[in-house]
Amino acid sequence: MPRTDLRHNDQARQGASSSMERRMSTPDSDIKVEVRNLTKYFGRLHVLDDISFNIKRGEFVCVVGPTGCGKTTFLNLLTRIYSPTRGDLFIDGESADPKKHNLAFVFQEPSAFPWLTVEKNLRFGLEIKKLAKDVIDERVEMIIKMLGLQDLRDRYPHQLSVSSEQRIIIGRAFAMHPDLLLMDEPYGQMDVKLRFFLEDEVIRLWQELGTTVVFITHNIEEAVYMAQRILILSTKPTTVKEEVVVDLPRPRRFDDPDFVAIRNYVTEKIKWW
Amino acid sequence: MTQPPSTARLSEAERVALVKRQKKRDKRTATALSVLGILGFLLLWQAIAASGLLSERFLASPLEIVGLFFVKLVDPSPDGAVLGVNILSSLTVALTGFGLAIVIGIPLGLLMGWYRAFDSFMRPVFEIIRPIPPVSWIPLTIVWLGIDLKAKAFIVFFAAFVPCLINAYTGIRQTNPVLINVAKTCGASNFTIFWKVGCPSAMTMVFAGIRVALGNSWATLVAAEMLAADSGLGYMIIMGRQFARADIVILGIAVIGVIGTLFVALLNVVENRVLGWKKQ
Amino acid sequence: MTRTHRFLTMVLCGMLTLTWACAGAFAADPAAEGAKTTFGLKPFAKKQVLRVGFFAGSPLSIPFYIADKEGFFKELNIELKYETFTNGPAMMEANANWDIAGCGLGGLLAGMVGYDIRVIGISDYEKNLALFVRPGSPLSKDMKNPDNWKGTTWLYPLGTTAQATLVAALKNVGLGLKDVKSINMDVASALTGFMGKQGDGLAVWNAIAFTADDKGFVRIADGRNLDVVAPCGTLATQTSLKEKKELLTTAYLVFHLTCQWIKANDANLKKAAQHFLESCQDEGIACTPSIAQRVMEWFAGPPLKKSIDIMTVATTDESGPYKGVPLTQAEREIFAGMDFFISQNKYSGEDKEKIIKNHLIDPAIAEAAKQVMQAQGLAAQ
Repeated sequence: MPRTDLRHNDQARQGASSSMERRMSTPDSDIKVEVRNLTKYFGRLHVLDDISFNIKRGEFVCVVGPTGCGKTTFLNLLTRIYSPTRGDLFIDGESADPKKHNLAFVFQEPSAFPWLTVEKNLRFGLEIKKLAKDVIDERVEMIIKMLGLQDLRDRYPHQLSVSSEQRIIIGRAFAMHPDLLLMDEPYGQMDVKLRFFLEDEVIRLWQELGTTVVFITHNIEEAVYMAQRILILSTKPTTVKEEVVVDLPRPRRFDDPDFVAIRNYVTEKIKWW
Repeated sequence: MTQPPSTARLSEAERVALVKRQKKRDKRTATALSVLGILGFLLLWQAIAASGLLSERFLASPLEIVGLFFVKLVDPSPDGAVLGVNILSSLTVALTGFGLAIVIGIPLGLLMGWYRAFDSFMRPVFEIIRPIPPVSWIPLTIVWLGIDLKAKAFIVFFAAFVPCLINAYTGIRQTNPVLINVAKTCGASNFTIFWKVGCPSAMTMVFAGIRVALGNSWATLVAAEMLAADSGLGYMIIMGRQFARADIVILGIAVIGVIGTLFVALLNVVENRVLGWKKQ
Repeated sequence: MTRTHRFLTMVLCGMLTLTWACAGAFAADPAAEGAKTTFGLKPFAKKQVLRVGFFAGSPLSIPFYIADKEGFFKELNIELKYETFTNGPAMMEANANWDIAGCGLGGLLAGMVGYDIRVIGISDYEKNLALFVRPGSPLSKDMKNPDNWKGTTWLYPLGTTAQATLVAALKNVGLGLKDVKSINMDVASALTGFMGKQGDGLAVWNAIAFTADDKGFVRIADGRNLDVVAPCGTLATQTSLKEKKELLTTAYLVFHLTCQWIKANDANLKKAAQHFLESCQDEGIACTPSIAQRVMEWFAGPPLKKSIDIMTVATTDESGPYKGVPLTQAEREIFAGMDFFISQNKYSGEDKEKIIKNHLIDPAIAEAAKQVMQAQGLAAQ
């Protein structure tokens, strides 16, 4: 189950250029995102240590880890809000660049633009990308229909419930048809009922649109419920401790013995004491 | 989720409607109270004037002021200009200064708030200029700009410029970093983020600044017209003082007040259009 | 200090009338000289505080300052507290803060009409009300030609004697205020603006007028050759007249005796100019020794006896608007000025009637001063 081969290849800590050569020598069209030797220092504080992994096209990966394990830093590196001290992130074999690639992010905090209507929020990223108007119209209509937002399209975010607002943010992210969709504990603040509802919503969108998703959570049950593969992070300096493939049929059931077994396994791995 | 049990069962649409109704009712009550307040003030004023507590030379009654208003529409004494000319003249000065303050102050504040380098470049100069009372520019203004409209507008400009700039600056500085990150991850350039995220975020503060600026513009008008004038509401007040005509002074104050109120109302309309998303 | 020598003071009164002019030197050391005061006035037993509304940068209230500096008040056990103004109407608004004040005609009228303040004396005649144009301008070459006047822009404080001066000049060429454009500016700003190439003409007074002379502007007319009578006055509030009549009378006496002192000889005039300069510097008003000297030379504060006559002696006109009505000189001159403002719609006939009916040009203090003068045999000029 654990796939440690990738890590072994990189233990010599080669620079980005040499790893690129190697990657090009073994082209794998199925790999959408490739993280190589990602390392980050804040001054002398070593936060991320040599993280490497691949994500396949259309894969749903969950990232879990103990509290304070540098998840946020990890994410900010993936979205290019921070730049890494060493190592890099490649999308389709190219160094990731938000201007070139389609990255989408669902933040923990509510992040709908309060001065834009639901529809305009959905259009925001697409307009920044300067897509053709008919493409934008088509995509936005599709998302509105999929999320059942027809009645709310001209409302402003603060007029909506918390779950509706979060759905808009998720819809906005999927509408981008991103190369990589990153979600940072998007349901951290919500109660269980809303959470289940939105988890299903995300799975539905993912299945229909085939987006590549990295979903960060501290909730192991949530990770097992959603992921095809789980990356377990270690404490600082953070690295990928283990990868767990979740090969369960959908819709998944929390009381399925296999589900429980994987959940327990991951829980065991996260413990650092 | 601390809704009372009765509303918990309502659908979202019903809930929104209920809140709307309540807001409407609150608004009606507030309007009624405001009208009562104004009426009460006028009555008290009339009562004090009628009681003879203060000599009528010092305090004309509201009714006399209304009467004087109509007289002043056609009678140029004692200041030499009829009311319409005075109003037009003051409006030209105040709106020129105020308009320039908006056109220059707000973009400058937004740019300073957004671009660090620009901030470092401009801030020291601004910090020196900021505490200078607008009136103290008068002697230099005469030498630099003469005594025409542009000199008076300059003084008003200074009074209105500072709040415009500060509020735009503070407003854009308070942009929610999460929203900036959303735009960043969409691949937006710094300028696009400034334009599409920073500027709209700052608008609430910007409008608060414009409101202060509008008040300041009117308030500085009298000082600006002290510089040199042959008409204007401030000039009318100064002349009322010159000839110990308290009624002329009060009329001037009242007209300035009413026009100021009209401007605030107009500003509210504009604000409701721009910041309508907040109210609905 | 003088309290113990009051008896001696009285004895020496007669002698003093002969020596008052050079008494400044004695005043420097009154204790050594014994019990006499410069003008032979009786000092107050208890220290008195006189609040003076002081018009900065103008000679019209400078005798207060000079008398204070020369010790004329101190030896009478009077302490002066100044409230300084550069604007007559503002001074009138703040009348709760002074007992006695001096200002020009504009302020006198505003004070009487607006605040029932009483004029108790005439303190100066402002003759240095001057009209300036730039050298080389048409008016500087020919001010008799009405066409040179038409359409010119004039900077001056509206509603003041500067306006009266301009109107008098316009009248000489058959024009009126409507033929020129007037911009209201206080005198200091008007000069600054004029120097900054604003306007075609400048109407200012006093030290500012001398400054304009010094800046090379052409004085085309002034109060002397236009025969504009611009009386300046001393005012008192109703309250101070009721409560401090004796103090006001003494102050009136000192004021006009100081007017005499100033003009008594060149040395005194020079001292007065020096005091004027100091006063301007204290108040932050631009002045030079030469300007101060000229201001004091032009100063026309009436001597004591004359000042009392101006306020108390009524005569009846043979012709004119006041034919058959007995008027004092003060009334006649103030009304002449007021009639100008009435003609400009600045004041109304009722305002003038109010002044007459309420006796706001009030001879009471002058009468009291006359009695003191006669009782003590003070110098009469």
